[in-house]
Amino acid sequence: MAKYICKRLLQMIPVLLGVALIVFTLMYITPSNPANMILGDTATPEQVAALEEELGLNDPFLVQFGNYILGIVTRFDFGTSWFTGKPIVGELLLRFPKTALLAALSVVLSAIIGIVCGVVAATKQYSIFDNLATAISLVGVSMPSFWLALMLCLLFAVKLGWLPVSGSYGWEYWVLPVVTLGTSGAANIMRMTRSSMLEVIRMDYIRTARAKGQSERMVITRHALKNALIPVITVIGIQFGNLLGGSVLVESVFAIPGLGKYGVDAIKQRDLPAVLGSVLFLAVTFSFVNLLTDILYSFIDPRIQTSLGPSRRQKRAAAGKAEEGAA
Amino acid sequence: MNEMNDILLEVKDLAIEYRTRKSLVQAVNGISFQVPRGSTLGLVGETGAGKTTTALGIMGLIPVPPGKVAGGEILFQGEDLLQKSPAEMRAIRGKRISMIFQDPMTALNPILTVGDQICEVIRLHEKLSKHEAVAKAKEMLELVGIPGERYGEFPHQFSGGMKQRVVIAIALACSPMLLIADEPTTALDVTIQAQVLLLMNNLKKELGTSMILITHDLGVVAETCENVAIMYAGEIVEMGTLEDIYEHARHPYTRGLFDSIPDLDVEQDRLKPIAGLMPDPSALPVGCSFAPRCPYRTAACEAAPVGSTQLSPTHCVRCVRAGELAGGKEGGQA
Amino acid sequence: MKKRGLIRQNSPWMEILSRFSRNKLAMLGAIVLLLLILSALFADVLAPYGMDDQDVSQALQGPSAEHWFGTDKFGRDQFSRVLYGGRVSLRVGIVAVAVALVFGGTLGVIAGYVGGKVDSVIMRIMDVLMAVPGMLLAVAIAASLGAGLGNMMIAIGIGNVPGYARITRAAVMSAKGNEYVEAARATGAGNLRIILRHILPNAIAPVIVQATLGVASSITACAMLSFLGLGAAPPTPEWGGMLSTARDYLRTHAYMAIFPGLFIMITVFSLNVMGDGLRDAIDPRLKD
Repeated sequence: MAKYICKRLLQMIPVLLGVALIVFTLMYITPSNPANMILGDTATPEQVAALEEELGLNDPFLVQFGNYILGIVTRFDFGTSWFTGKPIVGELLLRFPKTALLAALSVVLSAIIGIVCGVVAATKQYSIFDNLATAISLVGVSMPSFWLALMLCLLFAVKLGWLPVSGSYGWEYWVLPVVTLGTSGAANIMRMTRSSMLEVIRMDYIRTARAKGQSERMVITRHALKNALIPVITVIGIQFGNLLGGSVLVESVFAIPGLGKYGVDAIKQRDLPAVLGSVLFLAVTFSFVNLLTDILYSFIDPRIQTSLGPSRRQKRAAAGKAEEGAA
Repeated sequence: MNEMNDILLEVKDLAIEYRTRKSLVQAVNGISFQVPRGSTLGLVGETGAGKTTTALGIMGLIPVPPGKVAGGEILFQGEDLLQKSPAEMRAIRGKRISMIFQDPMTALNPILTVGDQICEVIRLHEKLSKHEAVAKAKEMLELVGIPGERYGEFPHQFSGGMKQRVVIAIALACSPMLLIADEPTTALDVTIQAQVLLLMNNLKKELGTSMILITHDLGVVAETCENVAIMYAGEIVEMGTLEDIYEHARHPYTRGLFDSIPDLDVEQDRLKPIAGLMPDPSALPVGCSFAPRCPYRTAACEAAPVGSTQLSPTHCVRCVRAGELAGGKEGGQA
Repeated sequence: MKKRGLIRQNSPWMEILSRFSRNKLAMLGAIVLLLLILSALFADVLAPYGMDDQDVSQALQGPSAEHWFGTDKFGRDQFSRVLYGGRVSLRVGIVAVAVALVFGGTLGVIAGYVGGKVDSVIMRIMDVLMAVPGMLLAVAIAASLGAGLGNMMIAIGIGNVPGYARITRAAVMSAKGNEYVEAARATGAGNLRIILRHILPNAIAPVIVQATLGVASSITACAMLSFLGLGAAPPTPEWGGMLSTARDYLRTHAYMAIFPGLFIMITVFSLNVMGDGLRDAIDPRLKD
């Protein structure tokens, strides 16, 4: 197992380098001139030229990229804000825990609701519960998260006054953001769990379990659910990525001072290094979550430990299905 | 036949149907048969004849809906299984009646070790500690010819034949009185088929188990069974001892089955298949369901349902012309 | 247009269409989508007011007979702006998917058909793109390129590329294994001809499904970027942008937030059920 994790960690390096390359390229091709942005409109051309030289903006692309990577690896330097002139890594680390908490709570909530509803819907196919859950999940995946955020605000904060609208001071501040972010996740996970369960329930080994005289509950939990969860885990991993993307909006709607809100504020201030720094940070987080789901995978599915072939194929297949629902 | 107390299983007028939105499929259509203690009944027929449905009906595993037992009785040791509660059926399944499924490739749960899967059935039905159950499961593995050390391995580490051995171990782990084997060898290589059949036969004798062997392979039946029932379109068209069926077949379908086997002793230019296809089970004909394909059909065959004729205490056939069509398989076709 | 040709050639498409038309929910989605497209196309005719007609005396009015969805702070009719907004959303959704389809599809076909080193290089690049959640990638690209409709389409399109690359690659690889492709090669057909005549038609079904669902997610992404201020420049009406404005009036004029969001949801919903319906129609085995 340790060997497998090491291998996966090594495989992550080129992917993360690639992500950094994308982010850096985006910074490089942006039409706005960093020196201009930092110095403001009042700067003289000489000042701009001097700063350009100082920032290394006249170096070739690859040299600049090398320095960027070197900065991240050796000094943990994700760049300097054009707006405040301070290194952004401090800001990112300060805000990361809020985003991580928000995403973790939402994933846990959506996984619990999604899996439970999916299993019940599949075992009682075509029942009222199944139809209702399927219909709600269809609406759930179709609803843009920021609109849901506004509507929940409107209902629970403005009209009913039960919950606070913005900030992050106590647990009650987290309810609406977590529900907002969790909704589409729960809907997607439910859809995947349902279809995966329906597929697994028809398998011969489920009939074998019944033929042993096993109780229906054990057939569902011990035999069916464990198998059905394999693609669901992939979906949960993908949902985590969607949540990180969604957190950008939800945090800014609910004024939670996390990475997402930082990024959005940076967009408004046209502070590109801060935007890309947050994106890179979130992408790295996502990669680690993916690694985690892969490891979880190999715990549930014994076929993966012996050969890595099926895992990738299964993951791709599941990911394909999951993406269709991801919105 | 035998005396009543020697009959382990008696199926009377069993009817099973599947109802879909558009149609009603009569998969099993009033069949009756008996399995005496310690004997083996071969249930023979084409794909779709209702053999597996019959087996699932006895196990109480017909998926409801769309399936439904529409009538009849299944007397096991004199008690009607159809009247049992789900909990009572669970106590019988795996303990007193076991089933081996057709495809060993998919019959085992891919994420549990084979040992755990054998252990599961033992723990369900026998009051053994975890430790004792594991020991018993290893014993079962050895019994079917797999080293006990492979207890902790997963199904994907086994070949098809080995998997079927594991399935057999699961089925026999609690020494059932009745074993239903649904085409246990169809999915296996020919050489492995013989091994698995031999194993099943030996274990059956050792443990005194009765068996229903579902197959479409008349060769397998000849090696294994005492009694044979020929199924066609949800009905038993002919039933009797091995000798009744192999030497004195009366029903044109049974004869057709034998004729479609190439005979090495007689020089033949070509195979003699039965012409046509089985009728659509959602629209069965009024009369004999084999009539549309039957070379001997008369107007009477298609007019009304055909009852069963008892030819001898052991031999019955469902054919209007049973009396005229006497003679063994050497009778040939008209 | 293209569909009719396909139907005449091979009956499987006919079957798919007839299975699709029996799926009530999917048909509902198709009809609603058609209505939405028509209302966007004929917004000029249907809208009671111009998209930027200001009337300050009518500012911030709730829904009424004259202004079905109310008015904003400039007194612009929200109903008209929602209709016009559909143009932007649908255009962005379709163009973004088209961009993704062209790039992703080409890469996927090359990777799947050529295989070997080329395949692994392309797919590694796709893996890198996949490592960034799609929405974040779109935000990053849009932030870097600057606000604007065109940039938004590029941003969303690039985020979608890996999905199509993978799906076409998988479809091409499974089609490539078929004997009719071997047969075509045996008759001396060239690579391009084999791809165009024999592989693509058989790989197209999953791509259509993915594209339908992709338009849905692209419309959401478009609304999101506009909501963040990275979308179309004002005064172009856009659903996400309208919601962004409505946020400031949530306490006092909630109606402003309701209607544009409802339209996004209805559009995305109808595309989603259509996509699901298409998938079930193409592969009935998955549905029971």
